[in-house]
Amino acid sequence: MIELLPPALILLASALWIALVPNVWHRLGLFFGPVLTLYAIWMVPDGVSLTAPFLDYQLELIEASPERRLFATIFAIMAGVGGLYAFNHARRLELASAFAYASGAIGVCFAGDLITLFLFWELMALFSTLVVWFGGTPGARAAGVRYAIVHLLGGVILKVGIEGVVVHTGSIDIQPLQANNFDTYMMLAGILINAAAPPVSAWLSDAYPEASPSGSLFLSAFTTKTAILALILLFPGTELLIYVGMFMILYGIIWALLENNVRRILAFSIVNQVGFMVVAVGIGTPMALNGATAHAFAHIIYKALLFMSAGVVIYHTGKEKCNELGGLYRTMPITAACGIVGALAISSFPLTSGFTTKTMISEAASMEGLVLVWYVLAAASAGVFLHAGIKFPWYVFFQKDSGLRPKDAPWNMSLAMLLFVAMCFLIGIMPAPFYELLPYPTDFNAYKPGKVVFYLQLLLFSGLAFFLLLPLMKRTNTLTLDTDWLWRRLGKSLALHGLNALSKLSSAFARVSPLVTSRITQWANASSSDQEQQGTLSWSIGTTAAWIMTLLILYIGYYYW
Amino acid sequence: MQDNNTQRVIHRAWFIFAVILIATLVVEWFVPGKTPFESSQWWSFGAVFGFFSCFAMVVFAKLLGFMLKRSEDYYQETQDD
Repeated sequence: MIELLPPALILLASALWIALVPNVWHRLGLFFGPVLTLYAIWMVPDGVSLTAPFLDYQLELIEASPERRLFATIFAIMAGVGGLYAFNHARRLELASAFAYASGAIGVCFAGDLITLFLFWELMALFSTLVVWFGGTPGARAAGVRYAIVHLLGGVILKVGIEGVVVHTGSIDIQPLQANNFDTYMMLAGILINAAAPPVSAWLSDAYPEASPSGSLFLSAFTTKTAILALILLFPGTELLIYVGMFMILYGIIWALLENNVRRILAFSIVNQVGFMVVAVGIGTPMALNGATAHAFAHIIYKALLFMSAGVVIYHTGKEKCNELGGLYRTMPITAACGIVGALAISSFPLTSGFTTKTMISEAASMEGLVLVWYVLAAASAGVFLHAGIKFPWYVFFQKDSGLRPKDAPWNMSLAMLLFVAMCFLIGIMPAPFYELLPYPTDFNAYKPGKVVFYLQLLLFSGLAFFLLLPLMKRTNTLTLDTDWLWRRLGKSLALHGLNALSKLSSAFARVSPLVTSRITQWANASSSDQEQQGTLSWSIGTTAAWIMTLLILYIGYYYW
Repeated sequence: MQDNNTQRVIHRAWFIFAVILIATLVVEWFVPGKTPFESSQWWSFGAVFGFFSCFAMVVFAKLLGFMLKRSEDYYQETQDD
């Protein structure tokens, strides 16, 4: 029975269960939702298995392939382990929103046509915005609005591209495209916005750290990685992506080095790691696409581990600035150990998942003779160790005695972290079974002795550089300007000046025409009265989330059948 | 007393770290560190490349920080709301 249901719908139904079922019974959805979704994902046969007519088109609601299945699998695992980590702390509706967000990501994975892809794309945008808002602070509300604007704008750009492609080719199929005209460039831009590519990378480091610690955990997994899958399916081998990816890699390192906020450091390192995947898609060979898929899978696990570790620290200390933390290994040994494993994995240290997946991308670059790309990737590997591999655990768990003596993680958080630690090592030590699941057959061997020696030297000597240069990296209570300055400062300033100019114009007009003025005043009074009435009817984020979720689930249920 | 202990631990950690660093260089005499390109096949390339690329990144970030760092309330989030 379960295998007949679309995996995304199962997770969406569990989100509804979590939102509506009272007391602790909602927790059943946290467990059974991801488990049943995972089962359904692996029951979906390759190829198109569910279609529906829509206007003049035949929608392909479910199309499976190895890379789609692998992305959906890690999304479902992430939802399940994230639920285990968060159920004691997160609000019920926050968890429901996170699950609905994950269901959107899984829907994108199995979308066989552009219309279905777009539907689930927007579902993700909607519920991820709610997850940001559940941060509950004024900063979270403001960041959520900026996040929503960027993603809705990205959605519009993607939609324009999709419409163009559909009109000009007559096909809604998801298939490899050449980025060589307005339509395809718009589609590429829409997807790259979700991948946090320049010049709009700032939305990620702006919004993710403002969510609750559990919210950041969910946010770190889905949006950027569905964008990578979309790039793999639609734009493999697009050379532009190599340069975009290299920029992302270096940008992530430099901005993370300047950052003081722990979660913002991890947010910048998402951009950095997604950059590796974007480069791989740009290379576009089977080895590179295997590398992008494998690295996305591994990245979700170790990045979640880092966010979980940081989350425990934030829950128990209320602090997340490097210069306010330190010495926590004394009372948080499990959290520290799990955070260190995540840090080693993101640095692609041998025996961890990062090593067996990221080196595939370097191998793909060398096989294509991309010398500069290979050297940038190698330097970036050293840089990742610098900004995330050492910096995160050093400043949080060692560095100095901050005087803080928080408790270690509760059992559910520890278990969630240990599960992901096990996966980091499993993929790192025995990668062969994992490689079997990749889209293209491969006999890649990550553990050639010479290569291991090279990477050990690279990483350990970058560690030496870190400790020798520590005086240059003194933490300060500052933020680093990014491209969001354009809309947060310059745009706001221009808008205010524009409003002032309009106001002056209106005053001048009013002097000329008293009759028009009285009409405008009447209209303004009526509007303000309406606003007051709306104010009395304003809903909390939770109520809004519940209503949006209910209506969407009804709509999507109707859409499937 | 505790400071002396801390100092001793730090010195010991540096000593162990130095031994590991030297070991990776010594091992390369027996297992040459392999990169795919002829230009980087020389002994200790990984160590030199790792150290100096990080050095360059830290210095570049520091210089960029002089231009781009602002106080935390630069955007005055709370007043926006």
